[in-house]
Amino acid sequence: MTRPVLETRHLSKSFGGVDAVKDVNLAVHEHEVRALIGPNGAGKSTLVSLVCGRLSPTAGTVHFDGQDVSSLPAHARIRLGIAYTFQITSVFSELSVFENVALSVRRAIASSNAGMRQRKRAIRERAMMALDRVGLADARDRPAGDLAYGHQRLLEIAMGLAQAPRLFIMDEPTQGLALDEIERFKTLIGELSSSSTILLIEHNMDVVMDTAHRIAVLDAGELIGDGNPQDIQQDARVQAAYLGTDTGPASA
Amino acid sequence: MGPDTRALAVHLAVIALLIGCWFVLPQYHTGNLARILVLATFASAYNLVFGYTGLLSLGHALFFAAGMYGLGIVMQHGGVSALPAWVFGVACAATVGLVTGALALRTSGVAFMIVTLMFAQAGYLCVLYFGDWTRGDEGFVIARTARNLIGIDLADERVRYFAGVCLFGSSLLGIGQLVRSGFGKTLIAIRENEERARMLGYDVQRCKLIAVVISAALAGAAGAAYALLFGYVGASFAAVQYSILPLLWTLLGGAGTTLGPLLGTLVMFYLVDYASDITDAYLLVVGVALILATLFLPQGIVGTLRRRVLRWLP
Repeated sequence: MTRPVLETRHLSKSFGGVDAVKDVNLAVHEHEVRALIGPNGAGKSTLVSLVCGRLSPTAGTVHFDGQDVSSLPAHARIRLGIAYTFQITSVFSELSVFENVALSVRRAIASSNAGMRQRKRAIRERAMMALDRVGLADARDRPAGDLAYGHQRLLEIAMGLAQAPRLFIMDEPTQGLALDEIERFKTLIGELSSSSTILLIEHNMDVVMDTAHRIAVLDAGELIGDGNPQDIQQDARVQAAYLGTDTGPASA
Repeated sequence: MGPDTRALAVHLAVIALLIGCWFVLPQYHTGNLARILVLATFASAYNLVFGYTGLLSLGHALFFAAGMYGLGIVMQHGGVSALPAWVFGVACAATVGLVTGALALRTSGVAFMIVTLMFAQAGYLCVLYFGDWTRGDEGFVIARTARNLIGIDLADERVRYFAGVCLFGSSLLGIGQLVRSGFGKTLIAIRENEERARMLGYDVQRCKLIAVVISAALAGAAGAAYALLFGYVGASFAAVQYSILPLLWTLLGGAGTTLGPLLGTLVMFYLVDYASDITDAYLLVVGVALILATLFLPQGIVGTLRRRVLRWLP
């Protein structure tokens, strides 16, 4: 097995005595699609916020690519090759769709020493390629705030794609997407896993079962299951906590 | 024509128009306009932080005054000539911007407003306290003989007007270029959604600090130029009023537009001018005008024009 791209060791976070994340040891390997599931309030968003540095842990460490990144601020972790999409849609609404993605590319290639013109062209090409992949190329000149909700979510995914991240963290990306958009998203995840590693917080069990190689289950801040989809489906603790004891996986 | 070229063309046209004004307007108005151009440069500096980066500073008088007193004190007490004194004034303002910015940017929102306001008040009180150097409340006059740039008399009406055009014109072109650059887009992104910008890998704090330092330097350049062109250095320019004025000018003209600060300063200047001819309560007239503008032109004059009709306005 390849070495983990992301590893958390004894990661904990408490808010005023309430343990949101409790002693989580998670290892995500290269080219893996890892789903992170769990009931509402299980600590999924808190866990990924700890991973990308939006929150600092009460205890434990985060390792990216073998390096301890626990003391790095969020923007520095992103620069190492992590992309993050927010649970609540978060785009630059006054700026054009294209500029939203261009901002992402511009940061990602900031360290290359290409000339001005080459750089401009590279930004345009990469931004349009990312927009193309989510099907928003035609909307490039519209203000991002004018897009329908589902399209704003896709735009966020495009902003992540444009970074060409090593690790792509998505917090409920399919929330608010139409059925055909969800199908498209699944295909996209499949394609992406050849070049990137994906950590996916997801409530839609269809998406999870169709895309994830492995599933980690969080309940009340604790990791109660971690394995391949079949095992997770059959795990008694997981069923009790999340899937419901006798109905099997529900389609959300 | 691409948007970048069009913005440049609009800015050059405005500068040409300003040059043209000298030849057609009566002296009273060109005299006013010289003053307006220097103040509009100050407003443009403010706009970079407020309109583009989304930081509501209530302490920009500090930077204007740092430039003004930086220049004034070395000229008055050190006998330094105009150009190096002006450069020194700009450097003073940039340094003050760096130090106060680094501290104030540790806060955000309302706390940021209060911290910047307090720094500016501390600056104002320093001006009053060090009266031996600043002549306190009274301020001091810079002798006409000293206001001389490599042999050109800066107190001359025409020189003064074109110096104003040069100052404002270069700041307009500079800011026009800056806000269309990658860095400028980053500042706008921070204004729109700071957390998203951070999570794209931008060092948001650093970008904000750079914006504050550029803004402070430009505000200081305007303050120093004001002292040089109009020959007076006074504590009133360090007072809270001069922190509020650039905010009002920018709001009226259109925050986050390159031409808004000029238009806002111009309209407000003449509003005060005409209103004070009619009544002593001219501030009341100004207040009513501002309320009307907030109600009907929430994006300011240029901002509303851009939203409604001329989408291509820079």
